[in-house]
Amino acid sequence: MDGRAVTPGVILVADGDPAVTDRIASSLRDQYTVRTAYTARETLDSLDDDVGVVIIDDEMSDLDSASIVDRIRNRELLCQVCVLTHDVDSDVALGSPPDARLRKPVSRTELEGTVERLLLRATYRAKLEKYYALSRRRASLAASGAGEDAATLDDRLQTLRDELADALGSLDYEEAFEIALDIPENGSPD
Amino acid sequence: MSTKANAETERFDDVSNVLLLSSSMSNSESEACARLLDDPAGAHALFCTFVESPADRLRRSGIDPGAFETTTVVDVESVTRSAAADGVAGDGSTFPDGEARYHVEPVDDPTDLRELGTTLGRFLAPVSGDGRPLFCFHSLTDVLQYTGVETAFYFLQVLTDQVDRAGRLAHYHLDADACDRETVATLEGLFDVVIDLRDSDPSVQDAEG
Repeated sequence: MDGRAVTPGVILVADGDPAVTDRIASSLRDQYTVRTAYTARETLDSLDDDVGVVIIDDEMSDLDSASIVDRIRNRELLCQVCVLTHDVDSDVALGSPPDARLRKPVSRTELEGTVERLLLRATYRAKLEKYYALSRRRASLAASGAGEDAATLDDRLQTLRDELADALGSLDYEEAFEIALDIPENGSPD
Repeated sequence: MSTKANAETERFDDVSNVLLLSSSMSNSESEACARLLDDPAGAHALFCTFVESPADRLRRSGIDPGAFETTTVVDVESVTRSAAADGVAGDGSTFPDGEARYHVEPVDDPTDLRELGTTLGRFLAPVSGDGRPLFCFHSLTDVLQYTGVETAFYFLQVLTDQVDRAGRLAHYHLDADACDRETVATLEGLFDVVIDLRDSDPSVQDAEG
């Protein structure tokens, strides 16, 4: 866990229609590092701890989006998932709910707003895990009496503390508890 | 870098989150709790209790709930207690005229920290009043019994941030003998100040150091 990227800044765009994938990817490239995938398999292969947000089409030919979301959750990846749908009410009952849904065709403003919000959530969660891992390490140092790395660790902890407070400033507390306690959103899309 | 000061004289003007370490519910714990809930005139008070009933918890804190502008008790685990344990005549939950002296908000599932956090959050929102809003959480010992230290840590990271933003003075009880030293040390960094009541001479440590 200590090895996870603290800023999972990569956006992974996956749509069965390469033209749509590339259009979405190019609109995000100004601001973010973007990867693309054209199948569910490619999407799952491309996932790692650097990916903060995955945008997937709900009509990939080789796997439905709910199953993709399930597989992402099962791998305990921190990335946030946005499903592009033709109908916001589709596949509500099946599998793990995504973190966001956008109805196609997606406007640029809507896309950018959603990516920014999901990236904030992913980044907060990644930093929180790092903060815990370092707090744990600092605690074991204190217990063993070894003090050499303590000052370095304290600096890193203080930086993370400030960054977490910044991130929480942009999240409401219900959302913050949801992300921190890692319990998927329940039920219907909003 | 930690500073030590006498808990009796320490002021908490610039402090939001205080960890109260004790070995058991002793006199010094009640005294420290009461001190952190001092000066209730015009203040809004929020309590969170697990094992004890709201009435018992308020009595233990040694405060008069009617002295606060508003008093709310978030009552976790109430279903596991006898229904007769609370709200009986003469338990102090009502004024002589029958009006409630404090509001009780139940949270049924002690393992559901998301629900608990969201419920506390509703009452932690900034409030207007003459005094500084206060918050007593009793206790982290219970949270750790229901969830692991990692989950408790994440819960507290959000909760303490919210307390700080709302300008509250909060304190959190933890029986340090009920968990290992490393758990206590891991949690300490989340708080502005740690008061260790296990020492005969109570000390205040700057946890940020």
